[in-house]
Amino acid sequence: MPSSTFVSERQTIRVRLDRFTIVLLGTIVVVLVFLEVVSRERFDSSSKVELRELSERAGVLAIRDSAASSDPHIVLLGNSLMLEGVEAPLLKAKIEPGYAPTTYFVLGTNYYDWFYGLKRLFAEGMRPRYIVLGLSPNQLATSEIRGDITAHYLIQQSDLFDLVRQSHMDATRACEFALAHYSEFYSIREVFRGYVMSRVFPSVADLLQNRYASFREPEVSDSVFKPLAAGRLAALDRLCKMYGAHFLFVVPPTYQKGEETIVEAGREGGVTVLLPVKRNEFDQSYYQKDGFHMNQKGAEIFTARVAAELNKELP
Amino acid sequence: MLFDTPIYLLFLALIVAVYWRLNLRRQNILLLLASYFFYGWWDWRFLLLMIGSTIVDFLIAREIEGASDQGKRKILLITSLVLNFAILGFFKYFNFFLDSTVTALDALGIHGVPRNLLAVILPPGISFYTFQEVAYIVDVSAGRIRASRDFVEYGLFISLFPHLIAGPIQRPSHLLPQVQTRRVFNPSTFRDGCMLILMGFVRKAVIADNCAHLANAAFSGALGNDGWATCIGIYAFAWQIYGDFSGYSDIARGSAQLLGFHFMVNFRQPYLACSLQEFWRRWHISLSTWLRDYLYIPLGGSRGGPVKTYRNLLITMLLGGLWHGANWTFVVWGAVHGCVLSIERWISGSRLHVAQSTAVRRFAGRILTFHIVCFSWIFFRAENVSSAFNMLKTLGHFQWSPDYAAAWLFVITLSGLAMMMDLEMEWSGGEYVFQNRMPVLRYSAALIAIALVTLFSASGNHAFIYFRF
Repeated sequence: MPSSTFVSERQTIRVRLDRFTIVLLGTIVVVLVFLEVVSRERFDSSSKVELRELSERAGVLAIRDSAASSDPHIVLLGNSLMLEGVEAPLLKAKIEPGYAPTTYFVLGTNYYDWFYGLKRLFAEGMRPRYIVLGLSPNQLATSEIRGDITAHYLIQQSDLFDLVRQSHMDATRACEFALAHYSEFYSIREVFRGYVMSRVFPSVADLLQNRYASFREPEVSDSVFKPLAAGRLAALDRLCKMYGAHFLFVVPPTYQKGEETIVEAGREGGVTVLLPVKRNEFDQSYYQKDGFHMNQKGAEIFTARVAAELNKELP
Repeated sequence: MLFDTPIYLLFLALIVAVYWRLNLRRQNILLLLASYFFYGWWDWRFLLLMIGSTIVDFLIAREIEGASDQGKRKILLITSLVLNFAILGFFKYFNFFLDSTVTALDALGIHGVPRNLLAVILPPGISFYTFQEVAYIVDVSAGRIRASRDFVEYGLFISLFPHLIAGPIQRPSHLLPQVQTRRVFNPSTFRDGCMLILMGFVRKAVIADNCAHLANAAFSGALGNDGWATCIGIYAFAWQIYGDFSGYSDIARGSAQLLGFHFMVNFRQPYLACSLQEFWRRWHISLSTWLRDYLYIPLGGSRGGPVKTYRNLLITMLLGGLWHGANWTFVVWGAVHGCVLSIERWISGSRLHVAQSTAVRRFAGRILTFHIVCFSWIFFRAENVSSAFNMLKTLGHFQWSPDYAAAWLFVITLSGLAMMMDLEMEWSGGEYVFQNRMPVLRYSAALIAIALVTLFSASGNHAFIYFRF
């Protein structure tokens, strides 16, 4: 069966794909379409992480505080450090009455995920009175982003090129990032494969996760970090002010140095930085096995102190 | 542009769609422009270097062919070789020699010489296209091929995008005539090209990239610091590098076939080799045959008696090691291979050699060869020579941890998959799994490959290892 015939100036090249090739290429196209449809229809409702993130996202997007509204909202943003470190019911109980803390935590996110993520949330209508973002020093300093899932869920189309430039992506990575913005399957493929791996090789998935969690990033030198932190805090502050929100930054406890530098940078730039737990205050008994995320014991203390420090900042 | 990314597949699909509509001249122009675009995708400055180097060799080859005086031909040949190796040497080895010199001066008590005098970045694929240019100049000089009169044809021979970054290194006598003559669309060649690309993805994304997780954890010490962790790391790396490079080669060959070109086979089930000599007839064939033809044989090969043969083997493998990168680890890796090849040569010429080959002996030979290769991979993969020796020291004590069971399970599963593919190809003589079988079997293999790539491709970005060389 001739699939097509191309005619050129001097010669005719008859391009005839054989039946096997047509079936093979057709199968690949069908599989890709199927994966995209299934991802859109099923992923959001079958992944526990995704369910939580989407429900929290919907929660923050529904916030419409105005200057006159009662029960102003405090939106807490961050990644797994905040997810594991903030006990939401305890926070609600400890915070001043009349304020409504709401969380939206997306795993593996860093500064750029949230700078552009906030832009999209504001653009989609979120209007809280307070924004509290929690990141470790390295997460504030890095130019890396969560990955393709960010492209789909946190970045708006108009910011794609800006983020590509800011995070120093090469051309190949930028194309993948753009594809992930439009394709749900492409954006979640690593989550999807991680899930498959955990079902087929649970012990291997666990091993790789633990091993990678134990890798520690190098520290950022203070001379580089301070101006960087000051610039980034100021950018977040400006963005929040544009939409009538008051911005606060919180540093969760980790092994990473630099929390004092962030406090100093914040003080100089007029941005409130909360440091509820100092770096070496928690020993290993307050952390999970990976030595990075707080366990329940650590989370209870951290949450109580975040609430106490927030209460000081609230009018 | 990496082969295992959607942008490459889109680029390839667009080129193929346009390409078969054109006549030969326009096909070549399209491919040359596409290849330069593909290369410039990384950094346009490197593209200028490659084009400059291509122009110089194109002109020198024509001068060599036109010169009747042997002396002039020799001078032109030497000029080209010096230029090519000077460019390669500068970009690839400047940092290495500077670092080694500063270390040596430090040892002699001379301190304060800066190590970062000049940060030289290695242009992608420079080792590969330089070797093609050298082969072309040498072949023209020896009268084995005619110098190309058309820059588009010669430029395309050097820069055709499927082989540009990491080979397979193409011989002028094989690729140049294909560039110069009309390519005919062949449905079975096109089908095989699609299948090669698919199987390349399995080797790279499923086998190599998953093994990379374990190899990285073991070589960084995160997996453990005893013999079990080291063994897991070595085996994982052995299958990682094989899957990575053979997968790359399959995608390169498959891409070429979609355009009507044929590239030489670069891997032929190397871990089934019964000796190291046989291993090098199966592993990175385009490099090993290049080294044989342009280095080992010009050095004298095996013509000057046993001692000279051992010397030539050692020099060839040392330089082959150094070709991979500017690090002493590659020199040691080359030395290990050179020494074992010499020992094998010595045994085959002595009374220890047993001519009759039995199944048991072949099996033992395969196991031994595989482990010699694995041993050498420690040096190839380690950050530096002392790290490699530290890893070797851990083989002195074994302390079991429950984590190792999962790691072994993973390595055995992935290597088992790779080994099954290799055994089928070894028995059937195919270039990919079930190539020579019934279409239904081939289609089943394709379906399994699609499922594996969809479900089990490793997370994270893993650039092809040989892109660094």
